[in-house]
Amino acid sequence: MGDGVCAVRRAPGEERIRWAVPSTNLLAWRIWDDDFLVYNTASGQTHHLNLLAGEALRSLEVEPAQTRELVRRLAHEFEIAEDSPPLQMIDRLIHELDELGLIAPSTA
Amino acid sequence: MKIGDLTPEELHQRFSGPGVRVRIGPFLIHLYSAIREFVADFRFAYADFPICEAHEVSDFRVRVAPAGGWRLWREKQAAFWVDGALPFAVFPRRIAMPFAEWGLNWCICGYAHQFLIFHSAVVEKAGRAVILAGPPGSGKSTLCAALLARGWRLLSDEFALLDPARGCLLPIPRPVALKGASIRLIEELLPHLRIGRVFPHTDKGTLAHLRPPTDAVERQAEPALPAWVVFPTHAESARTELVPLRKATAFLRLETNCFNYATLGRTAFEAMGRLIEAAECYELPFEHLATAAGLVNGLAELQPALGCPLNVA
Repeated sequence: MGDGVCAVRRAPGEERIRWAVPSTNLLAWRIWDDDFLVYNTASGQTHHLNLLAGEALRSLEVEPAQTRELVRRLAHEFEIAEDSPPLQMIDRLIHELDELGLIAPSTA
Repeated sequence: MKIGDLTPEELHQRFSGPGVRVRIGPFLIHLYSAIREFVADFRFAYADFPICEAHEVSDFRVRVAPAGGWRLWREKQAAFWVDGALPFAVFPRRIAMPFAEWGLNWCICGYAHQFLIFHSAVVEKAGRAVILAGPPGSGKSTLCAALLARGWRLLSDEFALLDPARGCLLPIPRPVALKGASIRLIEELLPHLRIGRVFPHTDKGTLAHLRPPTDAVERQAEPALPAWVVFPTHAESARTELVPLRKATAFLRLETNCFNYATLGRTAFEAMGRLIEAAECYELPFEHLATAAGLVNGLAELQPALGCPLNVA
């Protein structure tokens, strides 16, 4: 999902948002090596995600999380530091998943 | 009884009267026409296809009928009716056969959503099928013909019909539409097969129909399992080779060749996922047809034949 040059500026209070896969989005998955294909039944669209985006979405599908918590989970999953370059892109990643309609602020 | 068992006059009488119910792959088409030239062309191209009993329910009722307006267009016109509707503008009567074939394509793509439909040729050997997917001009029809010459069975030159529940490909071995220079090329490749009359000045240029092999028609109820997905691309000075594709890449490329992916939604995603999972996927840039056909043929020779044929649905 990029090399860190296009990080999205976080809006005030955004770090407190809990991100979730909306209950209307029933996701179907195909995972081949590091390629994730996900079909969103709500939009009828198929998305091709890389490893980081795929694991992030799968994590949020299991349980909603704030950005910091998601970073913690992914750092644990990939066995990397929380401030490592891929995870510095997390705001942009969340923004893109939100734009695609795959996630939304949790209302629960 | 087959279409070719009737004399031209008998067939004309039936076409212009009660119509003819013909089994074409998984579809039963009820055809009517009072246009003698069309009936003769149809008789040639569909000679081996079985005529069905009157009580069998048809999937499509198609009428290729004379239409007025010849003074305006300066040549005789015809119209393509399907189930009582007229989905297209009239067209020159001299190209009634190619137009009817396109019309039938339209019917299948628009309504046969019990299948996942890909724009591709499909051939089979020893129970395993290769899907040759690609846009017009990619060389899939000529590659398909070259594989027929090497003993592969024709399932289709136009559509792959995937049964999403069973994961098998249903044959629809209709006449192969040959365009331009490929007419002569196929004549040389498949001298034992017959090519019908040439239709110049169609919307797709000069066109002729290759009568499908008798064996392919006789086995049109016998499905096959997809084993390979190949994306051929003919190009001058291309290095001819099978390039393995990542599964996700193959999935997305095949999706672009699917007519009803959006219509079938999740069913399509799941069925295509299973297909790609089970199949080997390749890109095949090629300059030399014989080399390309040899590479695809080699895929089948690396694998043992399937022990038992699939049952017919």
